[in-house]
Amino acid sequence: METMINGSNIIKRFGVGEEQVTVLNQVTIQVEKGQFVAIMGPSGSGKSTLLYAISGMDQVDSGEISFNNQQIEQMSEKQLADIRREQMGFVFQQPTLLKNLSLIDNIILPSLKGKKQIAQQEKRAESLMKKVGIPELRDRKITQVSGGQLQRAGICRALMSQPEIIFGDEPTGALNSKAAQEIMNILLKINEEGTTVVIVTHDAKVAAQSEQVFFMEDGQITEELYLGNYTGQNLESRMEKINEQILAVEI
Amino acid sequence: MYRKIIKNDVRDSKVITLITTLFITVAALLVALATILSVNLAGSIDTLMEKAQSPHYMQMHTGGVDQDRLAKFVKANGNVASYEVSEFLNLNGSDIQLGDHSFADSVEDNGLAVQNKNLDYFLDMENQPIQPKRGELFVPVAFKKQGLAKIGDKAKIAGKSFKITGFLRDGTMNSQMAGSKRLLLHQKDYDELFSKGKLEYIIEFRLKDPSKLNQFEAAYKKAGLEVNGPSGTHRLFKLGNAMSDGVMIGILLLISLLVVLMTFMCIRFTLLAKIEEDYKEIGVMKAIGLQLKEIKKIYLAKYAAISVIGSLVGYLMSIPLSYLLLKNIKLFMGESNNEGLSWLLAVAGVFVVMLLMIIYVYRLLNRFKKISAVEAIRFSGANEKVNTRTRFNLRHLVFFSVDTRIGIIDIMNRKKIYLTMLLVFMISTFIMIVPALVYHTSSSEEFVDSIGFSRKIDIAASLYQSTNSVENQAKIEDYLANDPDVELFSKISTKNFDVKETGAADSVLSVELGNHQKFPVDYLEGQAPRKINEMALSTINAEEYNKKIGDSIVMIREGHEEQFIVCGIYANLFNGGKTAKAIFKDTTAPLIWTDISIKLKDSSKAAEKMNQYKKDLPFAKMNNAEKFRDQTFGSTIQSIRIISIGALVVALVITSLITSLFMKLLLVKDKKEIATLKAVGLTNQEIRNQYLSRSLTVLVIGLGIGTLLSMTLGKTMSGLVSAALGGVSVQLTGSLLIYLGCPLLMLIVTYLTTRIVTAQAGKIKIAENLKD
Repeated sequence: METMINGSNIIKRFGVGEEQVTVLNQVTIQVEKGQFVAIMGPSGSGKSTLLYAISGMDQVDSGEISFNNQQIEQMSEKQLADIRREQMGFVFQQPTLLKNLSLIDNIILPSLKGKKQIAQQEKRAESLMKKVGIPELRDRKITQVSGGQLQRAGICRALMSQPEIIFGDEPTGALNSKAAQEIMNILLKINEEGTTVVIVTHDAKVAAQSEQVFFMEDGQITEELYLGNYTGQNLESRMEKINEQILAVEI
Repeated sequence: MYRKIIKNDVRDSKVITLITTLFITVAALLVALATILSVNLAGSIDTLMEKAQSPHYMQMHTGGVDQDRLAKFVKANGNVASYEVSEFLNLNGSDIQLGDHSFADSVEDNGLAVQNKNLDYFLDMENQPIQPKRGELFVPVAFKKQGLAKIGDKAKIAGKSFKITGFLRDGTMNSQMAGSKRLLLHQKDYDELFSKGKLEYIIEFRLKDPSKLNQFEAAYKKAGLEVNGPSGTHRLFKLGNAMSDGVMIGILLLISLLVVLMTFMCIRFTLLAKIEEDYKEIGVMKAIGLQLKEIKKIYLAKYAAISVIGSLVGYLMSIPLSYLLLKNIKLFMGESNNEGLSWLLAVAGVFVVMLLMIIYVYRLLNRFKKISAVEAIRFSGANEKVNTRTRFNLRHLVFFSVDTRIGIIDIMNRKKIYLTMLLVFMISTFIMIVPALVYHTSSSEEFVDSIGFSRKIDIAASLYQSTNSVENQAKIEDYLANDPDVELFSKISTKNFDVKETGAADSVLSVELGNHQKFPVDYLEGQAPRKINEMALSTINAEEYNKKIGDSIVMIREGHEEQFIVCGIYANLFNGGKTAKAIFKDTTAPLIWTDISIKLKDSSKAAEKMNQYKKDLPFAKMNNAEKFRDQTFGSTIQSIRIISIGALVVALVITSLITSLFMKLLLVKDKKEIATLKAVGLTNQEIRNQYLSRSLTVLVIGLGIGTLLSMTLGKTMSGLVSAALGGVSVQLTGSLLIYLGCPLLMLIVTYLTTRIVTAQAGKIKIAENLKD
């Protein structure tokens, strides 16, 4: 397997002086191409910070992070922006769509660069919306749709440039269980088609559907659990393994 | 507790607090300055005219004066409080030498006078009547300003030596617009020089009831008394004195009003943004049981503090500045007796503005009532109303870049926010363009056309009663007809006629007769008379007789009533502003004076030709039109120029401040959206471009509307101001430089400011703003 993300000895601190807190303490993590990875841990364990660090959205104090063998910390602001636009997709817990734009405009926005034909982008956006089940909402404003629908639109936006990897920061966190499962199904399908997925979650059911789970506590990865590809079966037993791990950590 | 809250808040939003305070400071400064200057100007003029006992009516006259007839008229009239026939010994410019400066080129009438006995006193710098000793010469204070004379300089008047002992204030001829300047000396020195000059009389009256000036003027003209020369009224002297500083103060007042308005908008915007930012905190405060009044107090505390500080600093700054600006007023007119009052009124003005601001903030804070504690805590941000019906989307307007499209869509969706910005840009454009238009108009060649003096005139020759014979007129006409350097000339004779109009009893109208198309002036309405039954009226006359175009006016000619149709109305700043123009021929009415306007083939030869005419036609009084214009309006135009430059700077500073304030607040408001845009791969540059397109789009709209307003409303407003000043309304004209240059400057300032401020967008961290 080919390594897509390779982070080693990552240190990230917040604050200054006596109030300084180390949020990531010598974290080392690898994500292989095509994997579906979940990062779990209690609040304040540093899981979201790790996600933002390995995706290049946040700077670290020390350590090395590479994406497709390119060192992220050495990239310029423009190079990072280009990578985020072309090769990465992001889905957040709260809908982070622009209030002024309709759903379809929000979806095509990152891909409107250079000479790409707008009609072509529109077509792709429409097909993605169809894929996630919101084709009829294309011209709605974001204030006119539900949280689940917004999250689907967020996924469409993340997929517009056919990225190699999707990062999700609690993508199901703000949704009810039905909507959360629908989003998971979409992410699993994307992963099945070859896109790497890394998500942060505190929901054992969500994590149970991933291939590998990293457990974090106090800024460190304390455990790794390899569950293998989820085929839609034995969810219960996968969840049990995760819960055992969580219990072990808590004890 | 309040001090702590204010301190924390200021620390968190230094730039925004600083800009808001700056606005309040500038508003207070301008309000204080405008108040101090206008109260002092009015006070100084009144003091000067009172101390000098300036006449209510004045008639200049060349030729003999029948003193007995005049005394009888005064006695019979009953409204005369005092009168005086003073002498003015008009000298050739070449006979006057002050220090190194010769007046040979002067176009003004410079002459000698002695102190009057009953009225129209010449005052020293303490506003006390001057009593010169022998060998002493007092010269007009305008010469000091122009650098033509210093105290202690030697002077030579028609060969006799004098020492310049001091400067004088002259209530009637103080202003640079007055065409004559009087130099004061001892009676015996005057008598010695008497033979060297041309004697003119100034017949002056102070009235018991100045409100009946019009009746008095008509009675004077009707009595067949001395009228051989220009006349003037109290109102005209006052206008002359107020003109250059008055225009400056008028523009200052306008600017200060607009800055106050902008300050209110600025406060509104920052406060609403702050409420939005603190939405959750306000909800919490409500939830823990704080009363609305208490929450309001917390917010009010900061604005009350910056209002007080800004107003105080502004007022304090106005003190040294007002001394600087009062210098000219004090030099020309002396101390005003209401200087103390002006300071008091300035404090009151600033206090009122400050109070209004605090009340305004208090009222804005009523919005707290609408904030529900539960909603605020649950949803953390105010649900900003977004227009969901906008027709624009990213797939429209494809000829613009994506960033510009996003910018425009944002403007369409958050119109309310940008409306404030738009209004400020409009007002800034207005502040910049209107004074520039006033300057352009007053400094343009055409300006004299619009105040009753044709710009085509190179030299004006005048014949007054004693020299105004048919023979002399014919001599000039023959001479000019044979002068190959003359392109065009035209004779206009001024005659007085009785007018028969109800409500204007006993009135006499001075009518200029001749061809009025050869040397045209600008008509505010209508046109020059072309038929013998047509007549054009000056604005003051049109107002006095209440006439509009198409109305008829009845005059008595040769004992018969004759009806004329008003065909045009023009502004006139000369001859007391009360003239009329017609083309009919008249042989019976007495001739007052005759003007012959001359246009040369080569205008640059005017000075040379003047000297030739003076030598060959000694009986006529020659005026070089260009110099006349320069000396008459030079200083007024100069102050308008200073004000226009000041206004330009103020407008640009305001534009820059407002742009940085708005952009900064927008960046704070849009932090999360900016982080989102960055997360999905937009570069800092692209995000900055979006903000640039917002500010520039709003600016372009503001510039368009502001320019249109300046062209329409600005013109009406300045028309009203000049009409209020002297019954003269002038049409403002502009140039491409103003209409393109001013907007271009604003564009550059806005562009640079937005670029500098939005550099901060680069500092917005994705993780900090998107992590839940």
